[in-house]
Formats: sequence, C-alpha cells, structure tokens
Amino acid sequence: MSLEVKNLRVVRGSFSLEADFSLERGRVLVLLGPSGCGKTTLLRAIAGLEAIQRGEIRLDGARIDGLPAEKRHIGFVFQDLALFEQLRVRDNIGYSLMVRHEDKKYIQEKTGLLARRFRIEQLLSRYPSELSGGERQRVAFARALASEPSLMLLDEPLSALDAPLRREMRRFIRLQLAEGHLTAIHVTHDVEEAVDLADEIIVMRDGNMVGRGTIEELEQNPGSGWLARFMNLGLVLPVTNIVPGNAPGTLEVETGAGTVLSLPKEASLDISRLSRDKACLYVPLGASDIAGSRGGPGIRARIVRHVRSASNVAKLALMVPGVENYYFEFSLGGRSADIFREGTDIEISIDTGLCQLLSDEPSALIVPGGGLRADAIQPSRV
Amino acid sequence: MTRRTSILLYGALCVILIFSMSPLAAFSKIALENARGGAGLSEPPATFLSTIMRSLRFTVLQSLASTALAVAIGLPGAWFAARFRFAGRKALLALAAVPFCFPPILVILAFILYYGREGLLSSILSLFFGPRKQYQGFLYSFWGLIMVHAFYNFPIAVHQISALWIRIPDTQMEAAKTLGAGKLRAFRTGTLPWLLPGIAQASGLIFLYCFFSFTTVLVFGGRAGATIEVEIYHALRYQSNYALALAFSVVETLCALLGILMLTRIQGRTRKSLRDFGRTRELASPKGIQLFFIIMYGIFIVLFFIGPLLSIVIEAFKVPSSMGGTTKFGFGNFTTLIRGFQAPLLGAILSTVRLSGLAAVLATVAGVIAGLALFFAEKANKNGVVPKLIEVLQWLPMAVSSAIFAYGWLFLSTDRVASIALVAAQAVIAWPFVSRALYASLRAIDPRVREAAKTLGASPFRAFMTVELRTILPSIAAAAAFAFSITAGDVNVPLMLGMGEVETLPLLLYRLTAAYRFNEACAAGLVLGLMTGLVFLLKEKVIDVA
Repeated sequence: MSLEVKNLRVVRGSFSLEADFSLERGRVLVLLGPSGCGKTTLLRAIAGLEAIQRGEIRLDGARIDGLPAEKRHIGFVFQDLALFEQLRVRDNIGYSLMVRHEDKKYIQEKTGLLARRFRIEQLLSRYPSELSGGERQRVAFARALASEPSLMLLDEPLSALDAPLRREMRRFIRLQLAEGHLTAIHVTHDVEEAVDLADEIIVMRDGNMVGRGTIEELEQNPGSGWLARFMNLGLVLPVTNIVPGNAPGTLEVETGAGTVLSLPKEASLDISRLSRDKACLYVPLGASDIAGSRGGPGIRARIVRHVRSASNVAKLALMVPGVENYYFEFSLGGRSADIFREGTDIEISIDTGLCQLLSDEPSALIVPGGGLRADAIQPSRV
Repeated sequence: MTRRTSILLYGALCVILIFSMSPLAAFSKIALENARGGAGLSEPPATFLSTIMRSLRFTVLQSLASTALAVAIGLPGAWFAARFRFAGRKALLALAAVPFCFPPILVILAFILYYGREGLLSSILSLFFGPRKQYQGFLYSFWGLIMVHAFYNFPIAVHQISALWIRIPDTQMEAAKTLGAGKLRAFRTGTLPWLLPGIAQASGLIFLYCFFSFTTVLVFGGRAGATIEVEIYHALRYQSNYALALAFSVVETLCALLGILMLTRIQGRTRKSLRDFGRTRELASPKGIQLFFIIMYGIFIVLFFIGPLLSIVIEAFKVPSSMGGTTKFGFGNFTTLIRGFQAPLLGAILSTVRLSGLAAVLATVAGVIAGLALFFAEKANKNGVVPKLIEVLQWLPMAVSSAIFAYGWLFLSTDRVASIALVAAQAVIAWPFVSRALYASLRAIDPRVREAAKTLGASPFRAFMTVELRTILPSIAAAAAFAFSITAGDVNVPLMLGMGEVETLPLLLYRLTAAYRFNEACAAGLVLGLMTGLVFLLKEKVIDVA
C-alpha cells in the first residue's frame, strides 16, 4: 500500500472527522461530499497541515503523522492554488528544489522539463498575476510535482474554472497522474468530476466516511438513500409503510408516491435498522425505465425539463408527485425527447427484483472507537 | 458629466481650495513682506542652513527611532489579535483610538506621573533597585521622547497590521511547507510579502505623526533637541520671525510630502492585498506557550501603557496635604478648579465645547462638500483634475504645520482675533478626516444596490436619498464626533497662537502641568479625557475614521 490512514481522528472545535482507508500505489482516490463534510480537513491532516487527535498515517510503509508538513514529501495543490505571486513561474516551479538546496543546474533542468511537460515553457519568466486560470493550474501542478512527491493531494483545484476549462483540465490531470503512475487523492463535491477522475471514491458526510468503492459498486450498493440521491445513482422514494406480503418471502412496501410495491425480503439488508430509521426505496437507474418497458409495477413521474447536452445525450429531469423537493435525472438513451412533453406525467416501470430498502440517513463506515464496520464495502481492484 | 454636475464640482473645489489655501497664502505674504523688510533671516545663510539641518536630522532620527520601537511593540500584538481569540482582544484593538481621541497633553501628563522621578514606576523600581534618589529617570532625554512616542503610537501598528494579517490566508505558507520549506522560510515566502505593505503603512503613518510631533517634543525633548515643528513655534512665539518660520515650514512640508507620497503608494499595495484576500480568518484559541506569551504581552501593555493612563484617574482624586499631613482621596482637586482661585475649569469646559463644536461643524461641512465632490468627480472621470486636486488637498493638513494654518487665519481675521483663527485652523486640520470617512463609506456602497434602486424606479437623487444617504450618515456622524474629539484635545494651535483671551481645557491642562500642579492637572485631564473619549462610544466607526 502506498498510503494507509488508520483510525484517524481530527477535531476542530465542534467538528470531528474520522477516517480509515488505504490506497494502492498509482491509484486515484476521490473524496466526494457536500461542502463542510470534512474532505479538505482530511486532506490537510494527511499533508500535516492539520493536527490529528489520534490515528496513524503511513506513506510507503513509513509512519509520517509525527512529521511536520515540510518533511512529509507530499505534493499539495490548493483550492486557490496558492501560487507565490511575488515569484516568477520559474521560481514557483523550482521552489521545492531550491528549499532542498538542490544544485542550480539541476533546478533549471527540472523546471524546464516540467514546463515542457505542462506546456508552459513560454510562461517561465512571467509572474502568476499575468497568467490565465488554466495556466495557473498548470503551474500549480508543475510546482507540486517538481520534487517528485510520493503522494499528490488535490484540494478542489478545478472549482474556480469555467465548465469547458474544467473538463479540459480534468483530462489533463488524469493523463498526468496516469503517465507519472502517481498515487493521488482528489477532493471534489462534483459527482461528474469524481466519476471522471476516480479509480475509487470515498463519499463523506458530516466528518464521516459513508460510502466507499468504485462507481459501479456504489451503484449496486449505495448503503443509504442520501448517498444515492447525492450521486444521482437512481430513484429514491420515501417509504411510508412496510408489511409482510401475501406471497411468502415478500414485503409490501408503500412509497410516498402512493404506490404499493411487492419486494423480495432480500431487498432489505437490515430490517431491524430500517424499523428504527427513516426508510426509503432505492431503485437503481438500471432497474427502471419509462413507458413500462420493464414490465413490472410502475410509478408516475412528472417531466420537469428536457435536458439535452452538447454531445446530444438526452435526459429528462423528473419529479415524483407527492414527494417534495426531490428531482432526479433519467437518461433517455437513444430515444428522442420530443415525444415527452414538459409538465406531463409518465409511467416509470420498475424491476422490483433489483430494488433495495435502505435507511435514508447514511451511517458511518467507521465504528465508534475506530476501525471499519464489518459490512463496509471494500473496493475491488480495477 | 453634465454641465450642472461640472459647475457643482468646480464650485465645491473652489470652496475647498479657498478654505485650505487662503491661510497659507496669507501667511506666506506676511512672511515674505517680513523678510523684505529686513526682519527676516537675521542669521548668515550657512548658520541658518546648519540650524535647519540639525533640526531636520533630529526630527528624522527621533521619528525613525520612535517608529521602529512602536512597530516592535505593536507587531506581537498585531499577531495575537490576527490569530487568536482571547479576553481583551477587542480592547487591545480599541487602543488604536487612544492616539487620536486622547490629546497628547493628557498622555504627556500620564507619562510624567508614571515614569517621572517621583512617579509610580520609579516608586516600584526603588523597591527592587534601591532608594528612589538613585533612579535619575530618563523621561526628559532623547530615549524618553522615543519611549513616549512609541507607547503613544504602538496601538496604530497593532490595529493596522492586524487588520491586514487577519485577512492573509495560510495557504501560501502551507504551500511553502508542503514544498519542503521550514517554518521561517515558509513565513518569509507565504506571509511576509503580503504583510510588509501593512507594516510599511503603519510605519509610514507613525513616522508622520512623530515627524509633526510638537507638544511631546516641547515637553520631553528639551535637552535632546527640537523638531522642526518646535523650531517653527520658537520662531513664531519668541522671535516673531515669520520668514524663518516659513523657511522651516517649507522644509518640513517637502519632507512630509515625500513621506505622504510613499505612504499613498504603500496604501495602494495594502488595499490591493486586502482586495485579493477579502475574507477574515477564523480566530483560534491560544494554547500552551501561545497563551503564556499573550498573557505576558497583556501584562506588559497594562504595566507600561494602561498604567500611565490609569495613574491620571488616581492622581485626579488624590488630594495632597498642604502641611505635610497624609494624602487624602476625594474631589478636592475638582473643587479647587471649580471654586478656587480664578475657578478656571467651568470656563475652560465651556470655551472648549464652544470653540471645538464650531470647528467640528465647520470641518464637517467642508469635509462633506469635499467627500461628495471627490466621489462624484472620480465617478465622472477617475483621472480628472478635480479628484486629483481634492486628494492632494486632503493631505495638506498632514504636510503643513498647524502653526502656519493658525497664523494664516490670524492674519486673515480682522483685528487678528485668536479665537476665530483657532476655530478656522482646527477646522482646516480636521476636515480631511470627515471627507475621507464619507468618501470611504460612499465607495463601500455596492453599486448594485444603487442600480437596484434605479431599476425599481428611483431617480438618481431619490436613489441617493433613500439608499446611500442612510448608509453614509453614521460615518458622517462618527467623523464629526472624531473632528470634535481632535479639536477639543488640540493644544498645538492654542499654544502656537499663545491665546490669552480664552482658556481651553488642553491649555488649562498645559498650564497646570507647567506649574507642577499635577493633581489639579489630572482632574482637568480627566474631564478632557472623558470629553474626547466619548467618541469611544462609537467604537469601530471612529477607529475606521481615524
């Protein structure tokens, strides 16, 4: 393992963060979650910029949690990039080599090499204030990579960019990380970005890891209605009542949409927990389709908007009458959006065999006192 | 710019020009006539030049040393205030109002009482270092002057530097650390470049205040030397040599303008830093060694800065016995000043309120005209003549000796009535504070708010009356209160004019101090301190104006 974070606890005022995971060399982990969930705090703790209350951090087998930030040899790209505005691009990139008292010729060579790799040779004599957003990004990456760190930490570095540039930089980062066979942790709250960059994803909420795995694994088992909604993994309907079904081994589930569905008992992972918490029905996108083509029972949904992306991928933004403040997106695949009028209702058929009854609220993957929960998903190798 | 706006702007500019420049022109005319009439520069040019150089050298040296010490005392406080949450943090920042709201004469009195040979500190020191007679005191020396200036001005450094520091994010320093830099190098790379403009700005401001220091040098610098401002006073009061005063004043103004030019450049950089960073950081709770240093700093400030100010309160109520009996505490000093010989206190209070009130009203009117003119002129054309000229005029009171303004107005007034000259000169000194405060608050209004009012149907005038005026009124009120505070506490102009016809509170305080009637001086000082310190009630607004 390249990075091992064990039983980590960080406390900042009334906020506390718990983390426990490991990351193999050359893989990219994305920390995903809403603002304030602790993604950046976790990243800063790994970099040595945040004091930890307990736990261990190992990099390439060596324990680093006792080391100051400057001794950890970790590359960090900050959200605001934190370029040294008073230094030229050349000196920004060569900074980590300069503070390590490397030979001037070596610094020059290395800076030139990185500048060529990042296509910023013509900018070396400029100051950061004279660069565009994309150029600043490249400089920040080049600077973090100059001393060949064992681990790269990227704290939402793309958040300030406009959409096309963000997409371009995403490809660029992925390429650089892959070419350099770099181990990296990328922080974002953008699901699309996470899916695009990640080998595996850790979803965080309120200082806890609440989901972990590849996107396919999370789709198969989101663990909570909240996570499925947050990542738009499928349709999540509130459950108002669960009773044993007429057929043996089934459950009758009444949803907030006013539909009663018959589900196999296996659809509920932990029925005792569901009775305590608010329950919901998770219908993976692959288990549902419009216009009754799945053949199973259906629910009615209202078309809010046709969404057509520049790449001509058509989607419908839908809401479920009776379920407040919940919208989800449904891909139309190759079908034309023209036959679906905005404001009209459509029938969505559901394959109940693939549905899951989940607790709406996520539970932490780490048990009190530290360590992963027994049922926490371990990511499969990609 | 419409024709009507142009006429209004140029009209406003004329008013400000006449108000600011006429006393200077009047003084220059008399001084030049004086010189032509043979009563001018009586000394040979070489001697005159060496006098100026000696005085300039002393002025610059004491200003540099005072600034260095003030910043050295202020820097730790700025760091604590920018990083940590602790009891007394707000009080530490509020001390920035002291140099502006508490007249120098009051602080001088406090320092004499506390640091003087018979002062409280020497009594404490004698317990550790032997009998009091061995402690000679250093108050009336060069270093005494430096110490008084430093303690008087260090809160400016705390306030200005911390205001910038609290906005400097840690990310650059952290970036340097993740790239392998040690703590000191990370600070040098990630924080210092952004902090330096703030330090330079505070230093520049303190330097200018010390450069123009008058009363403090007059009292404490006697043996060590005289600043240019004191030389001007001597030329005017004891030699009636207006030409010599003008020559000193020109040198002083040239130096001050150079300083102001540098200061405005630095301020531009500081403003840019503030714009870049914006949000203030979250304060941390100090732990361990940090808490220890904060406590030590607090003790230091209380002992050496608050202590002298508190000693005024103690001494005001200490009634010395006339026949060697025990000292009592009570209102005896106040009674003497109200009912005793000449009973000067009530008269002094009334004349201070009357004269300073008038000066503050005049300064507010002029300041509002200038502030509005500057704002609208800049909106019409940022690089036009009007905004540039008003900017320069705003700096004038910081670049020209108040004595020249005072005598200028004296020469302009019929029958040379000193009280008229006093009011006008103090108004000239105070109006830039009002115009700056007004201009800053006008600039702070989000233009989108104005635009929103317009889209909702308000005419430009109605939008101004309903949206902007409500926002700027508190600033105008705070600036007017501040103008009253600095004019009420001003002893420079009355001393320069050598007023005998009216007794203001600072003058009474100065005379009582000169007559070694310290306890009565403290009683008068307490009244003055309460009067000028009232603006503290307006808290941050006043400090911002300052």
